[in-house]
Amino acid sequence: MSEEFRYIGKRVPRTESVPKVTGSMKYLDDMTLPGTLYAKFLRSPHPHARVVKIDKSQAESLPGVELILTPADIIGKVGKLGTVPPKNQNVLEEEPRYVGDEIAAVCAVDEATAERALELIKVTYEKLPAVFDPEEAMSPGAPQLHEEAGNIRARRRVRVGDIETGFREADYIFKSRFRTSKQSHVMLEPHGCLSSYDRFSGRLTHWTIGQVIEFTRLGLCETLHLPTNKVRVISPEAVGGSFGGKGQVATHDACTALMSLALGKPVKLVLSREEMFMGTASRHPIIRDSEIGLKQDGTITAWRENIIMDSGAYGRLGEWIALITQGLAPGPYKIPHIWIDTAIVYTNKPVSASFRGFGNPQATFARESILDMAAREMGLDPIELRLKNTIKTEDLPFTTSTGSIVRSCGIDECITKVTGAIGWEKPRKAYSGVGMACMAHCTSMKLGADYAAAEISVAPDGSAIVRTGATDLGQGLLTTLGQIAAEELGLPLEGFTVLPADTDISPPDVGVHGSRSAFTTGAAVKYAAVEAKQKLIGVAARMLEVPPESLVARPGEIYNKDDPSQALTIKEALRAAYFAVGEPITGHGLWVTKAGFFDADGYGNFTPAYPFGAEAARVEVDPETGQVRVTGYAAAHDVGRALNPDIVEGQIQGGVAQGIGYALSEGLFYDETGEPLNTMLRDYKVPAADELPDIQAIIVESIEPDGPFGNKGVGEVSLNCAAAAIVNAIANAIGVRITELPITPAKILRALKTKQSRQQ
Amino acid sequence: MDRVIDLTVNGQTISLGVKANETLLDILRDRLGLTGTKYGCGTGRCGACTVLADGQPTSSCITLAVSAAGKEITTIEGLAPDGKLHPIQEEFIKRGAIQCGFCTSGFILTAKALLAENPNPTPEEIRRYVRGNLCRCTGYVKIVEAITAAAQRLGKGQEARK
Repeated sequence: MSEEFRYIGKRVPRTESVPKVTGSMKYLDDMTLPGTLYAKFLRSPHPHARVVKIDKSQAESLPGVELILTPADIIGKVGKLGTVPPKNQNVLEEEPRYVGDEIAAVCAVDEATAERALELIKVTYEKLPAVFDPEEAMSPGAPQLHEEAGNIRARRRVRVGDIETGFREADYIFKSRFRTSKQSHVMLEPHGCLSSYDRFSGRLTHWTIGQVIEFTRLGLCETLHLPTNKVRVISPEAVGGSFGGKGQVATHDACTALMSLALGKPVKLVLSREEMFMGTASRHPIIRDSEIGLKQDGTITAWRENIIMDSGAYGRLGEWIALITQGLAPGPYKIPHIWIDTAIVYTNKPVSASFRGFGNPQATFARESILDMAAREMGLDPIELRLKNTIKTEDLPFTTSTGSIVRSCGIDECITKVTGAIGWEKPRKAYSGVGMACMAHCTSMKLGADYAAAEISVAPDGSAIVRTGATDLGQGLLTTLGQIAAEELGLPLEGFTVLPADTDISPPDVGVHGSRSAFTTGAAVKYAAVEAKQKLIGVAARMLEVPPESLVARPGEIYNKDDPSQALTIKEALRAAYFAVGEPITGHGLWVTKAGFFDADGYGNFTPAYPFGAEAARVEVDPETGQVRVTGYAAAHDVGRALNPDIVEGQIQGGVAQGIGYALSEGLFYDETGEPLNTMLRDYKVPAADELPDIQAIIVESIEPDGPFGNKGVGEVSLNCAAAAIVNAIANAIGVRITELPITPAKILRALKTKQSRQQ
Repeated sequence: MDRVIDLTVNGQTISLGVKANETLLDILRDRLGLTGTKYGCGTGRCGACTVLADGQPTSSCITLAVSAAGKEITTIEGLAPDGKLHPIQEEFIKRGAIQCGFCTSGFILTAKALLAENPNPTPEEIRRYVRGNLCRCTGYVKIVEAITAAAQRLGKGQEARK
């Protein structure tokens, strides 16, 4: 794929591999500090209540209990959580709004003592009415969660073209309602943090699992009213997966920090798996009424949707997720007339926030289902229908109807390769079928601002340290950034150390999300390497007494292009820089987005680059049990250029696995009283190794002009298509269409029964 | 309330006073500092806490420390004590089978037990055997490839490893 590079495009093994396979890598809970205390949360058993009284006296007198925090202890001293509006969540709640909402926190010598203390805290609650369905929450008379009328946190819309014209021009119109589930991230490592206040220096050092280290620090400082220079937030060297699950400052960050500030001792809090399910954020469940207009020949003329997003008990990033679920609704297609209305609604359930895909899995599910519906009804081939509407390479650069400026696009190649790989034309046995889905995604987006910075220091021996504010969550980012730096500098990759994010050391970065880091932080690293290289060339120019413009750098040496015998080895140049000339070889890089944002009508080039992809599933349905087995899966993604094919394939395969889980089994469920029904791995089903097929990952490279090495976003792309691909394959297999996720056996059986009775 | 037990971990036998309700995972991580074995769920469902007890994959989070007495416990740290990586470890690295790494210890030990029992497993047999080890990052594809490659290497007798 990439012949001209030394490291880019190569299957470089991850730099952190040996510690990970030998068990010596330190994750958060593996870290110990002398004298560490342990904290645990007391959580509301009610979906909506007022805390009338908390009696902590008995708990406080339990030997080994050091401190118990209640809302009364922090009111007036501590602000709301986070830096992003609406900021309507407290660190500890006097008015808990979901079963699991944090009421109080205990700090003790060990976890067992903390847990015993929780049982001794006596809380008097006044129960309040609660609402769990977003459509009910919007209706008059529904219990109010916050100040927003009708529990509507915000509305967003898209108005592009003229929707009436669009539907008038259509020969066929199809409409359907789709519902998606509250998917939980289920990263293997539970969340946690370790907070350590040092009374002598007056500084708080806070290790936390998270994707946005700098803004976690800012959030902690804002919430706890601390000066920023007195707080240091550090990412552990390894994080056991995130998938969007931990962005900014959380309640456990704030509580452990408060406790450490009060006690002057380190305080650790690690959530249990049960707490991960009941007390952390999850994907927005969405209700979508989607409507499409098409001409006889399959050309899409119109797209209209009414979307209700279930925000859970608080607001967190809902407005941005709404913009993505709208903004990527057109997918890889040219759709001239688009009309979308979205409402973000509160309900008394845990908060919905970012999760890999960020609104695009829901959008893709609806669009690709309805396209397949259209193909079946109109007698069109589903592949041809896609190809009729996709953005073509001849169109580039192409501005879509919603203002997206597409500069690289390999969607048609993805469609052709993936349908070939799945064996689309192969004869199918009974109750077996194939289905496909396509998508477009983004590479970063402004959550306010969008930037990344990097610093490189090259040592006299040719090794280097790279500092960025980005965290490695397991996606291989530190390895990838090392490849970029080594490629640009022409120095051996083995000599590069890419440090984990530490606010004392790292330059700022808005964080690891939106499939951005290899593109944005990668660009910053490349710029830093370029600056360092220019300095080195400058030093070599002085040594060789030639103008810098005459010099060329290649791995190992700098030489005069007009007289190649005039040369220095890189090592000689470095030694001269540090010990003779006096110019340390360092570089700084800053990447700031040139992309815009959505306007009030949903128009705008909101991201610097668009990855595209197509996926196909082969399923077998058991008509007696309703069970669906995915017997084959292929995913082809245009990622611009694969900086490390092992890493890119791994991302694609992992995203597909989560997508298959989203399609077939995953979702947090609640009974009619708001009680969570599945807070254990026994009842929240993530796919195991024997439940997934061999997932074929196919890399397509369209070489994005704005990517540091032609790359664009990868992280989220492969979680978008599976639900629709599988639903479409089921329709192909047994002629029923499921419009609500997850696709449980019960739904299949009900649909088959309905189909049978219709045929009779 | 403490019971004194003899625990053999990675070839070394130690006497420990343990509480009746302490798990093997607690002992390994908090008392012996062997943090390569992870807490993922505490209910024996995710496999992140997998150790080998007399060669058998065992969920240490639901194994009481007292019931581990008298058994040979192998943790991930015991696989390459002299620093020379086991072929399974090497193939995990080579095949890109590691992402976040949190499940990795459990998978490697489970794979070791599998290959001792079935030196030439098919991909389906591998998937079935490791179904108690969850991975949320990889989709299992490269893990199966790594275990298959390790089986081939061990089968060729190039590295005579127990």
